[in-house]
Amino acid sequence: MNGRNETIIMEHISIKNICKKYGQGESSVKALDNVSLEIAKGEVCVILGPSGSGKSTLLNMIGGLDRVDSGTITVDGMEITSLNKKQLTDYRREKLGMVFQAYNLIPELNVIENVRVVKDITKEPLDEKELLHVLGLEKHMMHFPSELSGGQQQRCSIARALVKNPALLLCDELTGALDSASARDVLRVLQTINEQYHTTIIMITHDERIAGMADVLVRIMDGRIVECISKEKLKVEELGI
Amino acid sequence: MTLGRKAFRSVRKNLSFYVVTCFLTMVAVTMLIGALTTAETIGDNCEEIYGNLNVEDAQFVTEGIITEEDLLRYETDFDLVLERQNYTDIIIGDNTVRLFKESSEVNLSWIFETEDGESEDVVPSSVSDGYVYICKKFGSFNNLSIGNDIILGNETLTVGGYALRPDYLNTLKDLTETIGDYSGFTIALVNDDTYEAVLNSDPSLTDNAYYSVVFHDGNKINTFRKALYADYRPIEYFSSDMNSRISMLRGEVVMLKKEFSSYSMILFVLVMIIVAFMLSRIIDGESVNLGTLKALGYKESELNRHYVIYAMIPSVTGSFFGVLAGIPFSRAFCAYFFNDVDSFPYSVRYSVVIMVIAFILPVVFNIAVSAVVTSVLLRRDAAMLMKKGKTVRKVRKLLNGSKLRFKTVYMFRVLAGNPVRTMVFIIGMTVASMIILLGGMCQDSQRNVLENVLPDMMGEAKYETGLKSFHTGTVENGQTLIDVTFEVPNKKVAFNLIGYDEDNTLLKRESLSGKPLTYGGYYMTSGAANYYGIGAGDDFTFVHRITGEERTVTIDDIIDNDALRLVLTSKENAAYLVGVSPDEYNNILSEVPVDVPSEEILKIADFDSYQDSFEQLLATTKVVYAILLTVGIIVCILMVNLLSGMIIDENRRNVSMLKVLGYHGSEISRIILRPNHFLLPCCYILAIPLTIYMTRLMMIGSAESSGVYIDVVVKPVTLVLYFLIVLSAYVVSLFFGNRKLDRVDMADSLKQED
Repeated sequence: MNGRNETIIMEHISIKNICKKYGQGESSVKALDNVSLEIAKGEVCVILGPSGSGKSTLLNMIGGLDRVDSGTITVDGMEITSLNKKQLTDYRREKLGMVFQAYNLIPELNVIENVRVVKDITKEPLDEKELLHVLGLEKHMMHFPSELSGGQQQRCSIARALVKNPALLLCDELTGALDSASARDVLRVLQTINEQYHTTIIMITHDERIAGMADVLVRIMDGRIVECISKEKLKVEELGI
Repeated sequence: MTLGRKAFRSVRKNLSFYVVTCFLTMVAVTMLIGALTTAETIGDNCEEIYGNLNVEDAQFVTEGIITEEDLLRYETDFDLVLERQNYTDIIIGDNTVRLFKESSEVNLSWIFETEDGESEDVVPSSVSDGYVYICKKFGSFNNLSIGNDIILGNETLTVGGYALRPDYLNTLKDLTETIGDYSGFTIALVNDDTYEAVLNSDPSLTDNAYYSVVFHDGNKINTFRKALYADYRPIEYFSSDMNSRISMLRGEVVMLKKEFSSYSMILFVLVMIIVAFMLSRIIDGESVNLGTLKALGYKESELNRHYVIYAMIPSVTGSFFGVLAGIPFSRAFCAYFFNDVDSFPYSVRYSVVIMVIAFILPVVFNIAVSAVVTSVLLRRDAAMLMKKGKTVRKVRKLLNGSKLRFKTVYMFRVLAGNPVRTMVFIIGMTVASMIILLGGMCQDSQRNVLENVLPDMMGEAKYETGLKSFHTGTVENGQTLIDVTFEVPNKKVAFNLIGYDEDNTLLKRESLSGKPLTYGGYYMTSGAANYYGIGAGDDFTFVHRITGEERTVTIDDIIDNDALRLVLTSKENAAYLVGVSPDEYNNILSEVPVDVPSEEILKIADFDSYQDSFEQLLATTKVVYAILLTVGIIVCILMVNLLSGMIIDENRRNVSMLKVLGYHGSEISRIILRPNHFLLPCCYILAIPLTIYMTRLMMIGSAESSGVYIDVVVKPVTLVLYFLIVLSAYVVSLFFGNRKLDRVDMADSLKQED
């Protein structure tokens, strides 16, 4: 488990020895090489790494967007690596929220309608208006994506992911397209959500500044986890002990 | 030009566009070549037969025989050729053999197949003594081969070969028929001696005669007819335009050229719209490249030429395959149309000019439309083009704040936000629905004639007995009429003037206005009114076909009868116009067959014979409607496939994102492709009045050549059935669309936008 302390009581996500290779023969690239990781419920896991390190591949595997060559991923006791296409869709539908670097809002829908895109397929959704209020978008509910700033669009994207009250929130380069102020703003929102709803959050980024909000910090390089630090250790490091 | 390679390499990327435009171009070119080649083949072969065999310009029946002196006098005075035609009808079982004495001047025989083989050269042939020459189809149906014996009268003759007469190319036993009965009727040609021998062998056979005339000077036709009337008082006169044995194929030539050229044009226009639309999308999507090329020094004209290649690829490919497919299609089409007449050898006349025109036409159209679109889009300056990058989607903020479900709101915004795409879909699907509906409406209209108009047409009468001359007195079980054919100036098709007694109960006469008919008024059937363009209160001028005298009457009202071209009036009025006494009659309506000597009977029409010939007509048109239905379904599938592909391409990120969010494929399809679902019934509904209008134009066009106007009737069940066909085609294309949706990668949404 790459050096992480065994102090977490409730294991939420368990990744064991996953490998993923793209291409064939000499031109093949090992995107993930025997990666193992465990994340407890309610934790914020930040995965850091340069471009091409395999962090997006890892996120895709956890999100059930791509399949592993070998190894297993278990989320909430469900081994998602053995699910078929339909079951994977149901898994994403019921357990997963996802926030994209490019926001991916539907341009033809306004803010509240974009949130309803997910609410409509959720069994027990949160109140979208309340959520937008928490995210500071209550005045922009009738605005279209083209009328919002990057930060506002990203908050809308977060609202869309959270309206289903997901067990797991995956964030792909959350602040990649934002200026510093907007990025801080969005991260603050995410922290609030984590505290309020105990949502497990996995963020991939190459922005070192985000590491500060991590319970678990994972560094990945050439498809391998090179470092995995728990919150306790991070605090110790912060304190300089 | 290196740049040109880009266009060819984009074929895979824009495959749906190329497949749709190629296919539509191919179908349009194939139809155009098929129709024009068939028209050319029919026209050439017929005119060759008519010309080489000296087909009559008119035929007439006189009460007495024209003397040899008068024949010569007419020929000299009026610059014409006149010949008496003798025939006798021989009944053999259920079959009728119309035995003709060989002609020497007009309507010459062409023996195209003998024991020595078949010949395509249309040359007048001489008939050998003791031999009989029959129609090939009759021979095939009745196992009568060349060399077989046949008993005519009490004479045994040998079948010497297969032959035809130009005035019986469409071998109709009676001119009231529309389709020949090739298994039960044939003409047979023998020489003078054999004819006399057959006639003398059986006393029950009667020698019938009429005169055929070929005019060399059109200006003398009317004076000849007046002289003839003064000398011999003809009882029937038919110009070749009025004789469907001769005019039917000429009418088909006109119909083929007119109808199929318009079908092809509709498809060409549809292709042009698609090309213009797709080209503007391609250019719009390549604005950065365009800006870069402009900045590198490419002239607008060079870029213009580059984008013209995009339009040329499908049009040249489609035209090429269209021309290739046009060759066998023309052959099949010719065979189909020649099947309506008796068998004879013909050669398909492929015209290089037609093929070149059909090839060039779509290419020129598409180059023109692409040149216009490109020049408009390339007017922007390089910096602006480079800045623009990927097209920013315009969003129509319709229904903002509405309580409707987001899927519904999304659908309306997508439709309004892409007006050009929406228009292309509407046009494409409306055209496809029209093509599909056209066959159905034509069949409904024809079936309506069969099921409603024909039973109505004869009123209470079951039999109509036409007499060779006027008679007086009463007829047991029958009601008498005056029935004379009149011509209308500048119209090819004549009408019949019917004079009836006030107490006639068998003749159907209900006005469209609902007003009762006044005895002594003039009433025109709706079939005639539509054809001649006459309404109630209009003056109507016509010409006596035999005397050539002109008359004008005022039409009081229109009678509901689409099948027949008649003017009804009192017997007194009719007698005055015809020049006979009101006591005379030449037609009898009855509910049972009437007792009239057979030699007095010109024709007996009964409801069953009308029905039979119309049913045969329906059977022959089925193939054309099947072609239309197939083309319409394919157009529908291709159009939906093309536009679904576009929608999916535009919404790649949305589709990918929806998949990530946990939407199932069917749910995504319902969101992304739903705007099409909404438009489909709209297009179908729009297609209904347009198809009714188009069918009406077709029926009017067909009435111009055939003289029979068929009112357009559409049954609700047909509309439902054809909507199900359109819907099925749509569902099939959705299947392809869903496969495209399936191929969208979920990882697309994780990528930063280009």
